[in-house]
Amino acid sequence: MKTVLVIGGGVTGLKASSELAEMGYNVTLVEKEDYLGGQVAKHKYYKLAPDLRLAGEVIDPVIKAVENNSNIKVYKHSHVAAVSGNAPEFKAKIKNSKGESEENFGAIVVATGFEHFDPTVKQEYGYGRFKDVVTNAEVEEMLNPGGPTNGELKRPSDGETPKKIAIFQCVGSRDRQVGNPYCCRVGCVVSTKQAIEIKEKYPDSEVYVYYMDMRMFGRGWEELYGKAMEEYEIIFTRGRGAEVTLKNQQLSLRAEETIMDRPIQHSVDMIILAAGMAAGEGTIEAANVLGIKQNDYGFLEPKDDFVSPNESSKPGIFIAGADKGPMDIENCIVEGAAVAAKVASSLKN
Amino acid sequence: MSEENKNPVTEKIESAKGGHFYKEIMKDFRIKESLHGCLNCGTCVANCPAAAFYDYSPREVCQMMIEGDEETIEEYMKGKIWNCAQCYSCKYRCPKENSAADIVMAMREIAVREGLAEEALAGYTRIAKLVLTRGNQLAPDMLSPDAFPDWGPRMIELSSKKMEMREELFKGFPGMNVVDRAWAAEDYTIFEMQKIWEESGALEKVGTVFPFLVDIVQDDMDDKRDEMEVKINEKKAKLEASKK
Amino acid sequence: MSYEINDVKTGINHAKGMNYHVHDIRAEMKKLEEEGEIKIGRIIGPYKEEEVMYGIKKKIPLDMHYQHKSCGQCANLPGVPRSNFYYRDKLGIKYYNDMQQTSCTAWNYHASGLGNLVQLASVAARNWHRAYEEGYNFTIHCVTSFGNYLEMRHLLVSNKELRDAVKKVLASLGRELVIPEEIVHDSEIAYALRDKIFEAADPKRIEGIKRLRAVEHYGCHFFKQVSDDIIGGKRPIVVGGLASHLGVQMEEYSKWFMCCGFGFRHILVNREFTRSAQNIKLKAIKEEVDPDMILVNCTGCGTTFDKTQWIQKAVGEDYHYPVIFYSQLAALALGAHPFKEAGLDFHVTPVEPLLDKMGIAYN
Ligand SMILES: Cc1cc2nc3c(=O)[nH]c(=O)nc-3n(C[C@H](O)[C@H](O)[C@H](O)COP(=O)(O)OP(=O)(O)OC[C@H]3O[C@@H](n4cnc5c(N)ncnc54)[C@H](O)[C@@H]3O)c2cc1C
Ligand code: SF4
Ligand code: SF4
Ligand code: SF4
Repeated sequence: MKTVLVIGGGVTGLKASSELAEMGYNVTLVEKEDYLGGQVAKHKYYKLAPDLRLAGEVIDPVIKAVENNSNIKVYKHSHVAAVSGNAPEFKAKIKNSKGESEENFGAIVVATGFEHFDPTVKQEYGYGRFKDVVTNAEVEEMLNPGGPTNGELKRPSDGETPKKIAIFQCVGSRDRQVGNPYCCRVGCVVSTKQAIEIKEKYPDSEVYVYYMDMRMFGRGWEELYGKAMEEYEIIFTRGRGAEVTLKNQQLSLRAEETIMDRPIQHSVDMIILAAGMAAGEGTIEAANVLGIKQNDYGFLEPKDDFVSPNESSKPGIFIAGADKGPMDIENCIVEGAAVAAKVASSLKN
Repeated sequence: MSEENKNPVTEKIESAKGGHFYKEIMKDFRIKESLHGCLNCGTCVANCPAAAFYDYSPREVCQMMIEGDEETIEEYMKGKIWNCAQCYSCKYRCPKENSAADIVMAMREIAVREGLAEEALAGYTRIAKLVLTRGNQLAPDMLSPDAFPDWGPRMIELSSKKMEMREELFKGFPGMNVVDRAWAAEDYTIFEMQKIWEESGALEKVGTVFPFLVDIVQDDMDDKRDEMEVKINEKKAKLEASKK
Repeated sequence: MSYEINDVKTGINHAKGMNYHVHDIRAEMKKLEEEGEIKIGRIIGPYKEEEVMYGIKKKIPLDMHYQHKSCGQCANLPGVPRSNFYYRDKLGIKYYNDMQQTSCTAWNYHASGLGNLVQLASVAARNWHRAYEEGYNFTIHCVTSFGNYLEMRHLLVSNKELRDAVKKVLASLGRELVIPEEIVHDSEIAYALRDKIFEAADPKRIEGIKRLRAVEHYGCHFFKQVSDDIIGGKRPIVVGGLASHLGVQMEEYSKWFMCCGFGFRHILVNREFTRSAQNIKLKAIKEEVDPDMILVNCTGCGTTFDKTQWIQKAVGEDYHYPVIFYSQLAALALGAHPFKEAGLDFHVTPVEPLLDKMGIAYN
């Protein structure tokens, strides 16, 4: 029986590994960090949209399924340094602090995921300059009781609980200026979820969302959006956050209220940037090592988006999850299972 | 216009909508690069200094051109375009890289051509004249205290002793110490520039606002034309020779 | 809040190896040259490479500088062109102060709409050709000209119709279309020469400079009109970069991006607009930093900041920030007389307190 190499231990890679193992394949999972769970674990996501379920409820069983399966060998803190050969006879060099080993594989699955867009590039938002401008990922960490602020939303500058909070949508997405014209596909639902979490915890706070479109296409998303407006009185203003400056030593944002046709200024205590998804260094590294095609934005390109969505440009190398472009967890899990099936069928032939 | 420069968005609209002004504006090839569809996000307006103080909106500029909304276009042609500060803040930050600034520039050109700019250009004669007869746009002489009373007492002091001050400053730098223009461009150089205005059709356009200026320039050119054309012909011959 | 100039991240995501939307004008120019469509006026003598957007390298010429002038500076802030000459003399850089050049006429164009693109591009190309035929590198003092020349280069490269029309006009003058390999602003050159300026500087002057705190303001046509060809990437760094290298403590203020209110026509016929915009900027500068000076690289902004502080008294504000150009700072560092050689006495907002703080005598 052939062994399958899975690169990346996020939701996608985990799901793919356990499905393959259950089908009887041996799996080697290589993860560059010293933990499993990908971005969900890294940023300590607390509750997931749209049901506000605890992230742990979803991710922990997936991790356990991998850790408890004797057919799966997990290398943490490791990376794939070189790959040679062709399908179905690959040789891969796996490197970590303990040394280097070379193993044979019948197929390779790339599930290296995404990275949060770095908002320092959009200097007009003052991220990195004004302490109270934070990212949505940082807010995930704060809202988690096991996180750095024990579950409290606090202004990094003075540790106070902010009263007026503005959320900027589409940071680093839908923006030719930063080279990312695509939609991040989770920012809208994540912001709505975070706004509700904040209002639930601090009913006196005011939360304003600055948006162009609220893209609520997932299961239960539109309902969540309705709830945010009706039950939580979150204010959605149609206009993209344009600039963050200081006014009387307080954060001041500029935008246009595009429905009323007027430029506005708004002083707030904290600004959350709904930073989108960008192709991560890990994905780019994997693409280079394996010699598979990336699209113009750096994400991995399927052989055919419709007909063979999980095949890379090279036979025997498969791709899945958020390394192909922005994707939510539900779909990542579907992708993980789908790629496992595709690998299995290819190894049968 | 070559095929690859065609912008499908503007191309489509072009054939569908708009009146006279719209069609004139669309002829400017810069428009194709200045409109890539608009998200109506308001980033341009929020960053626009003109929108902060006037009834003016770069988003509206983009939208009216996308829609071919002649009524709004006319409103802009007849006045609002002159509010724009040409700062390009809209272009720098638009997530679609649209440029209201360039659209406004194309519109200003047309406003001049169609005789709609008289009011906007009242008080602009001196500069236009300086450009066309000296090859400069500003001269120390123009900064007289009566034109700029709000620049304060030091300005008055300055303008009274600028001659001596400049002499001191530009000792050893020929051509720099003049007050009726910014620097002493040679007659031949000025003639070359006038010829550019003439050949490019720009001089004719000046005539729609400042007809007397065209006469001045043409008289000026005629005075030296024969002498200058000899020089130009020498230059042409030299260029030909260098090509061989 | 103070910042290190190198901390300002101005790059773009493209660094990650993406191809989307990379605009490489240099490659396009080379292609046109191969096709015989244009000539490129290559950099002469030594140059230094500095990174611009998309990680592309821009060649900054270090010698043989054709001085393309600014009419606004020469008429109104003559200390600036004088300082440009001064720092070159001190560093032994050869330059050409040509009287066969004209103004770029872009200030006129943006203010009035008089003129057209063929005219504007032909004026640009005629000036470029002057540098070419004299064997010098074209360098630019004025930000309006700089933005205009970047734009004209772009339009000439991307549009054959315009190119042909301009070639025809040039032919009638016995000239040809030679686009400079690089369109370089003088502040970029001063930045590229920062080590040399520092080495050649008068240590006493540097000591004075180290006492200063400053904010910077860049001309809109320096970085917004065409935003992918300045050193540093999207956000400019050259003025603050030079100043902090010489010892100035650079400070950040939140309204750094906003237009100064010059507006090309507003400064002439609509100064209420200019003053209102100025008040917003100056207020932020005062509240957030209260610096010793405002550093600029643009003719229009320099004029606006210098000339409209006094009148703010009318709205109950008292501003008094000397407005200093990058090259005036460089000249002062190199030992220039503040009035006779850096022309600071042409400024309307008093510079004396600044000179006192630096320990420079001026009378
Ligand atoms: C702020 C935010 C909140 C979100 N909240 C929700 C939510 O509530 N609901 C929802 O459905 N979705 C949510 N998402 C989306 C969710 O994060 C993604 O769908 C999911 O994390 C993608 O999983 P993945 O395994 O494909 O990628 P990742 O989670 O990125 O995992 C990839 C893994 O691969 C590893 N790796 C990368 N490169 C290499 C390499 N070269 N070698 C070895 N290992 C490598 C990485 O270390 C990482 O562990 C949110 C996203 C954001 C930005
Ligand atoms: S999902 Fe929402 S926040 Fe993200 S890019 Fe799309 S519209 Fe913007
Ligand atoms: S260029 Fe004109 S429209 Fe654009 S931001 Fe400046 S003032 Fe506004
Ligand atoms: S910034 Fe661009 S996309 Fe947004 S409203 Fe203005 S023109 Fe449209």
